[in-house]
Amino acid sequence: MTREDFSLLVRDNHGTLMAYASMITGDASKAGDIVQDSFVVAWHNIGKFDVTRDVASWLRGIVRNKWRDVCRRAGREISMDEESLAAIEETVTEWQADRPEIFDRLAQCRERLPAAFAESIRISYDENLNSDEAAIQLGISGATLRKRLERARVALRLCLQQKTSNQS
Amino acid sequence: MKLNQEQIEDRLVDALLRQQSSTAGEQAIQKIESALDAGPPSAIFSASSSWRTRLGIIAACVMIGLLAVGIDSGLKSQKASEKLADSKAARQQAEQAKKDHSAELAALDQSIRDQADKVEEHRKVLATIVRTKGIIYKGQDSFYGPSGVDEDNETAQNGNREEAIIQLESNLAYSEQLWKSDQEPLMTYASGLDLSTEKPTPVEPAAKERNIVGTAVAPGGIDIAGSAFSIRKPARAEPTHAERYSPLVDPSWKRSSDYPLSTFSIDVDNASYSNIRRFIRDGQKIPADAVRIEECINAFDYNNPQPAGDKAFSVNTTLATCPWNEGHLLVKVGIKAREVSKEQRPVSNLVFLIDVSGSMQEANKLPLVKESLKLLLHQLDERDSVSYVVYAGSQGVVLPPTKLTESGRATALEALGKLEAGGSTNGGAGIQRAYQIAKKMFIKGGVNRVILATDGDFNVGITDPSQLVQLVKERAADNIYLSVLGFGTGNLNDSLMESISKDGNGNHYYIDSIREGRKVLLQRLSGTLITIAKDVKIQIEFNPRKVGSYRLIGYANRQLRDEDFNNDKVDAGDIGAGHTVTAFYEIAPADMAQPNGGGVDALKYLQPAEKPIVTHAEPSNEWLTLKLRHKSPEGDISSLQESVVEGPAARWQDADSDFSFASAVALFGMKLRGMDEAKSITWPQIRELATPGLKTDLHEDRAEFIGLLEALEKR
Repeated sequence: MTREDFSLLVRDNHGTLMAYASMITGDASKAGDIVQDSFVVAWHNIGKFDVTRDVASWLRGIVRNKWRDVCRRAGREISMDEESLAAIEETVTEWQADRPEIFDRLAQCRERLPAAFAESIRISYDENLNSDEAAIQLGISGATLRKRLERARVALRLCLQQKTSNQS
Repeated sequence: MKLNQEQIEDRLVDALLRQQSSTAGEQAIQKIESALDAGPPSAIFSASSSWRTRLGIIAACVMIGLLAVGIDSGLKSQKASEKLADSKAARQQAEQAKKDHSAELAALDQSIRDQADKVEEHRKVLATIVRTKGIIYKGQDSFYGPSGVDEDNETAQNGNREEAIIQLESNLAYSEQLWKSDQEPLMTYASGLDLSTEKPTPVEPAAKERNIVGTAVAPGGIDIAGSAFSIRKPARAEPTHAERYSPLVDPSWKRSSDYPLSTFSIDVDNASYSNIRRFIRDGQKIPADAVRIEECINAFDYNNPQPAGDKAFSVNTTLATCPWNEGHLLVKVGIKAREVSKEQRPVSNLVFLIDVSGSMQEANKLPLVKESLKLLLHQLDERDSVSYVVYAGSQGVVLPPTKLTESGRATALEALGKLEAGGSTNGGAGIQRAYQIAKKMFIKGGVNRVILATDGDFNVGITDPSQLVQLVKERAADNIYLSVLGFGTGNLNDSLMESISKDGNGNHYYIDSIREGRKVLLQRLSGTLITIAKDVKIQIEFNPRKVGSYRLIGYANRQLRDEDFNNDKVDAGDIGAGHTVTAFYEIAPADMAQPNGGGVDALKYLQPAEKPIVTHAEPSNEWLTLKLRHKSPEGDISSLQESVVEGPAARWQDADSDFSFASAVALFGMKLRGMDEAKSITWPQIRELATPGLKTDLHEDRAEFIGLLEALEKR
């Protein structure tokens, strides 16, 4: 694999890997650092990659190991037990959340949300406002906003599952 | 921590949403590319767990030392003294290496701490801006909404109802829409306002399959290009993450019987329009909050008459039918400040505060600053003086106050030419220094102004926006004003620039090209430099007999409370010589169906009290009364001007060409902001509305606007 090819691989897998790393670390900034390190490790070990395996799954394995390493070195317990990590792996695979198309599907699902839900999602995620700021902007209480977000995510979950099962 | 399946799925959706909304993707990929090219994996986390790392490195150094000793002894040298010396040297070397590593680590730790401080500083700046806006919005709500109602309490009381509504929304609307079609082709997602008319791009089944497993084998690795991995089509360029815009809430419809008064501060800036133009030209999506409709309208010259006599303003109103809403009317309010001819221009004392940090290197930044300021220098004469203060790694005065005589101008031009971008931004006391010079050189009755040229990084020694606004305000009280010229992209702090202009008696412009530089610093120089009036406020009283409902278009962040109009302590916008300000009110006449003003339900327990409509003894033909307050630049007491709009409304097709052009610009802004009324209106329709305005287009600004509409049509 040439360096150029690897750049394409990075570009193709970066978004989904970031989402995965955010899930297990619960912190976008740590996720960014881990993903960066993981790609570097992957590049230096590309010769060892078992080509019969899914590259995305291989990269997730590196991310997991990196996170374990970070937790160990930082003197903390690993933030998530092995059982949960395995369940996450299963869900990601089942939802095909390791392919860039997941974002397209998510966008389609978002378009079908009721307006109040869609706006809550937009303000909270796209505008990146915290719940208090978002509630002020929407003119609703913080509790209402959180409720809307929760229900919006439930709706998106159902939609993504439905779309994935339709595809497969 | 153990998660159940539901929590896992919720986390996954949350993470995907966050990633989808993130605009930092490209930047992160570039960082990864650099890390890949840099060699072995970086020790990002090792650096933060410093004591463990240090121990590791120290241990490694000791090992190296021991190894050196071991090797040395293994040589079975006969010269014991030499062996001792060698091992001593090796130990010293190891000690030295240990020291070096410790020093490196200390430097690394320091650098990380510095970065963390910077991040925290930026976070605080953003948080303050948002907080400030929050307070402003709350103030407006208390004016417009039912006073004295604590929304949180109300929501708590109506919790069950709210929940029921949400449940209903969830169950009905969503189930209705959700399963309609799963056969639609996949579409690239675009967050924010997407003006794209691009058809969804179907993903070929084969392409989808290709993405599943990396199976193509080539000697020594994987042949990605061959078959294994699909490559995503690059998305349309996103506005850079670092650009900051304050959230805007558009004024809603108001019943004139409930809210007969509408009050706002003028806004003469047009930075928003220049910025939108840049987005369109670069093919970027336009963030809705980057669109301030009034700044788009005010970016153009209109043929308003000069004020009569020694008045500071002329006020002109036009009433015509609304081009986009049948049955509605549109009132155009045009205000023109007195012109000041070149000969009458007061003497100027200008201090240029120029950002020369590394980020200013790009062609559309420092080089454009230089070109633009050159234009300004050529407009000034021997009566005027200029100084340059730069800020970056090296902050200081690069041109002391210099009178623009022939030799002085040559010196000023030479100093400008020598400016180079470089170094990190470290403003130090940049802005205070600039104000000090302006104060020292103060010209009574003249133009005393600091002109800040930056790409948006306001690291000018004060990082708290409210403190910066306060400083600008205080200096303005001493008649030293601030102009902010924004250049380039990617770092634009529109939010703070607007704050300085709105709350701090400054003005700001966004210069995206030498053409815009010419407009701001040449064609409208007097307006840029000479303040004709400050704290200019407008209040309209609507006649409920004629006006059922109304709404102000634009001025979303310039709303004032009614009582602020007569309160001279409340700040408002300033106006420069020759500036025009245009505002539109859309009106639903009283004798037609009224638009919904904001979704307030009818009261269950109280009937709204009948409000006696007392106007004149005879039914009035007046639609509204316009009041304008302003202070002279040196004054503290405002004066009042009044005018009345009456008579029948003209057909918009018969109104003057300024009316149709300005209403087209308003519609352009409304559509970019995603307002419901404008959604069904197409770009060609707006173009059609704007076209008659080309009759008067001295500087071809209107033709350029038509060009932007055409570019939007093609998206």
